[in-house]
Amino acid sequence: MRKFRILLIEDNPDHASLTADCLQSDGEEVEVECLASGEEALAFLTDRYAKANELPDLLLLDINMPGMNGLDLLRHVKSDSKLRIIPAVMLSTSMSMRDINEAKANHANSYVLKSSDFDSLESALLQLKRYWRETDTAAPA
Amino acid sequence: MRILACLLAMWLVPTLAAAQDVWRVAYNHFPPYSFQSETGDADGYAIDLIRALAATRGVEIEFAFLANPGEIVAALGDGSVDVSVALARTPARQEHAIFSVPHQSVRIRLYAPAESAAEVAARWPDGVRVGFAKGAYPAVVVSRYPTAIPLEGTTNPDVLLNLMNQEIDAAIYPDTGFRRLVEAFDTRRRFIAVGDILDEVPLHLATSISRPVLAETLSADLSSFIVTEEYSNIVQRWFGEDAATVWATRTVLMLVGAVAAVVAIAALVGHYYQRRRAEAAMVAFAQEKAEVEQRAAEQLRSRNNRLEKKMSELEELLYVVSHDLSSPLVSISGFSRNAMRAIGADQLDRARELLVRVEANVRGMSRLINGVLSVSRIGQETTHTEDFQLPDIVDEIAMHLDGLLDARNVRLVCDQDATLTTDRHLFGRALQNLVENAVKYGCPHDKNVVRIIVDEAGNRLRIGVLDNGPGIPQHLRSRIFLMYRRLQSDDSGSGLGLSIVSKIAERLEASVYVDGSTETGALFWIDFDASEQSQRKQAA
Repeated sequence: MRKFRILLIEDNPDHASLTADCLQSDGEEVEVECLASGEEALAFLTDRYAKANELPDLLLLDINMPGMNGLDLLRHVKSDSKLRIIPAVMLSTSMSMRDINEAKANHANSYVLKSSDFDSLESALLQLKRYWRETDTAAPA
Repeated sequence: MRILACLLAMWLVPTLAAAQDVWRVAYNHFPPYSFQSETGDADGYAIDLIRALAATRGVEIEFAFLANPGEIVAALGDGSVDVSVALARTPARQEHAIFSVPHQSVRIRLYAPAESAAEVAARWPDGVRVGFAKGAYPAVVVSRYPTAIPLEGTTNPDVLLNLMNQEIDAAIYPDTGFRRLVEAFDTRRRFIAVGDILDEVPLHLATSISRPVLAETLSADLSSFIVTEEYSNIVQRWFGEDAATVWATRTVLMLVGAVAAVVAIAALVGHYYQRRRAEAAMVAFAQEKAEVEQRAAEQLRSRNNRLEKKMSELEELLYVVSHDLSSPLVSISGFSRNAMRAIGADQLDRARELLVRVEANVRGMSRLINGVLSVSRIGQETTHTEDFQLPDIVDEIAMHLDGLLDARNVRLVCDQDATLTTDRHLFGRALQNLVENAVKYGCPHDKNVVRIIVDEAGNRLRIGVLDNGPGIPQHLRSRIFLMYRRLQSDDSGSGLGLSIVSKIAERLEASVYVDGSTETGALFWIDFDASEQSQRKQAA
């Protein structure tokens, strides 16, 4: 059985490593690819699709990043006919309604608040992973 | 026949007797020849003359004060009066009255204010506004000056008033009368005769056309009277030196009444204009009030706009700061939990690694909190304006950033001098922040130069910081100060450097912006308006 592939886009290396740890803390091995910017992630996705018709099973997008931020990347992904099927979950410390509404408007599949209660953040990430692993097709965008 | 003669005698005798007993004498206002005194009695030279003549005949006089010579001539014509005392003879008047030998003459001259008399004389008669008392002169005299303006009002003082008010340039007036008139008015302005005597008009007694016998009698009496001492006394009284005082006094009394009336009218007119002025003042006040209100509303609007801008900047700051504070908290929370698990599993090295990350995140939070406090303090610090040289400040910055410059192999260059007049400490901090940013984000090579540039043109003094990095992307140039965002992920700063620079610039009444013209390297300007600087210098 092939591993569940997650692409994490996160500019904060501490958050990247902590998130990657969380996603595997239930003992299940998943493939977590981590990129530090929106630009890199878009290039990676386009390239991966063109070469191998291979896409990640889940996108985890941080919002606050220099340059192309998570919401910019979401817009690109969800307006691309080949990429839009990938479930995209926003990960952010922002509780701003502006960010939440913009994520919703751009067809984000979920929005997870990076909580400083690390246990609840971990359980939320694990639940997400299980949900999208068990769901065969992406929700229509 | 006897009966007829008796009847005629019975009719004639009372008629003649009555005619001999009372003379109905008409006069008009023509001082000093004739006028009505303040008590309403007839007075003047010609009045004295007729009284003297009546006295020699033992006749009483009934005076009739008429408005003007025209009315007198009409009254003589229809027999409602018997005699008029001082009238000039004209062919038209001879149809209604019988004229005696002349007893006086009126010399008519032109009078003008002393200061403009020469000009009036030079222009006369063309272009001179000449006035005369309407009805005072025979038509034949007036017809010689067709451009003259007949002045309304029956009193000759009207002429002087018109002259004083400059409604006319000159007045036609009897010479003796005019002198008296001016004396009576006690005017400080001098009026003098212009040119020669215009006319000399003889004055006669005029008797009703219906009284030829009386005309004969009066003319004969007058001829013999004008050679007597009594007549000389009358002339002396009215035209001599003493006479002037008497007449002037009487005229003054009369004029007091006239002046009182004028004052009353002036008061009414004054009241009217006062009211007009008050109304105009109220309109002006209302306009001013509206303008003040409009200005206040505009100020309020612009203040509101500034506040709204500030609010949105603050919201933006709050957004970024809350993210930048939450972010290390997430890390601290995760690393410390993992560290506890590692300790539980006896993995002490792993726990130490995690705690190092915890410590790094705490330091990051601390820098951010200090940065926010710095921004808030800039608005509260008092500024001290002074003159200083730019290279001195650059040397201080190079000393402060010595370690950083060495580590990144950066040379800080300032080869232009400039004298600045502003707060040295705040300006130094702003410039240091820009240099720090330039070193951190604009020096990717093995050897780098950060250059301080002076641009002095006209009233403008700009200090620039140029690095040799990738430059600021066009789409971020306008947002870079507003968003308080780092363009690169970096752990070394609070992320509020540009925010601090922006706040300091605002405090120093300068502006700060990214130069849009550079191809490579970012160029930040701190821009002072030199005229504002000199104003501040003067104020200091």
